[in-house]
Amino acid sequence: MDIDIGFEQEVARFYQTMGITTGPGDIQYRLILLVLARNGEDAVTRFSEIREYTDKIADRGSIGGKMKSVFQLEGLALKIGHGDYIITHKGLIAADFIRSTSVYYKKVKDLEHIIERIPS
Amino acid sequence: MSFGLILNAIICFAIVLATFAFAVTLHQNKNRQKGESIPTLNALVVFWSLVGMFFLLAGLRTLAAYGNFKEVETALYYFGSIPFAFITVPLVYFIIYIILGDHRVSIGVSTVFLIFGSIYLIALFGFGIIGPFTEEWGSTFDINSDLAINVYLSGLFIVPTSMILGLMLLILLQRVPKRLQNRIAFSLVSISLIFDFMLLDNIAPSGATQMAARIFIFIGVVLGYFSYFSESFDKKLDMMDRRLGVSQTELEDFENEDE
Repeated sequence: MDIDIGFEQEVARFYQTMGITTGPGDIQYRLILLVLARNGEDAVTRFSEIREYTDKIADRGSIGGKMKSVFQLEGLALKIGHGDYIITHKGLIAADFIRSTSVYYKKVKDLEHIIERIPS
Repeated sequence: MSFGLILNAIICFAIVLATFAFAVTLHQNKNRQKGESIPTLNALVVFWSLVGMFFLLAGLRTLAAYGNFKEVETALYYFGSIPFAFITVPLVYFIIYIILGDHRVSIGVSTVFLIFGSIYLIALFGFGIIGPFTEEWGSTFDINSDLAINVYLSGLFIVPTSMILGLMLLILLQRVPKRLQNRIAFSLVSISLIFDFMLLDNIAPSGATQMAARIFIFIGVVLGYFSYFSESFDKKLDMMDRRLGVSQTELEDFENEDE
């Protein structure tokens, strides 16, 4: 499953405009979680793999900080070696939630487009 | 001949005036629209114009019935069948474009209805009509072809009506601003009302049924007009209130104040 950075940024911005600045509204959180979830519970995710996506939107330090302060601290991912991570079951639930926020965003946008096409 | 026929013709011309006014106003509002809604607006203008055209010919036909010009009446019925058969084309385009936003798909689906309309016309012109049967309140014809009626009912009536109801449900079940929801719902209800009663009008078994159908169509047109332009009417009424000095002013309560 490919991760579309542009689309994820769009979705994050949508939630930020509603005052939701963390979780679904945080582009770093979205991208990290989606990369971890793509590899699944059985595969190791390299930090460099995560940075392939996050380098375009944030520096290395802030991503490393987020890995530590959010993902490891809350038990969404486990650090199993230097720069190696594995997503936990809790992390997969969070990833499912993030995917559902994308579906909700698409639903809202589709309806907005329908309304735009109705003459006013 | 009776006064009922004249009244029937007057209702037809009232529908013509209302639909053309609606179509012209919609067309004039074109520059206020967003680019996305221009194709649907055009479809709506064509739809209302076709309704107007049908009732212009229906009104003239009723006048011909009043004057007992049977041949003119028959010719006008045939002419009126043309806008009647193709009324679903802009309607289907309008609904499909709103839902999918794809011009080509909308054109494709409405072409299917264009074919249905053409089959209806071929059957109608081929097998002919029986009548006119002039009564006190209206003048009716019998379509001499089951094929024409079946094509109309199955292809041109049931499917577009289901589409209108489907679009209405789609909008009503979503979280849409109340004002917008009302406008869309009223607009679709008015289209549905007109569409359904136009069918009844065309296959009406008696003059009284035809008259009743036309009254409902007129109500539908007015409902459609107000669903779109009620805001500008509100503003105009407010302006008139202010000019006449009858606008409601909020009075302060001085009861507890010292004089």
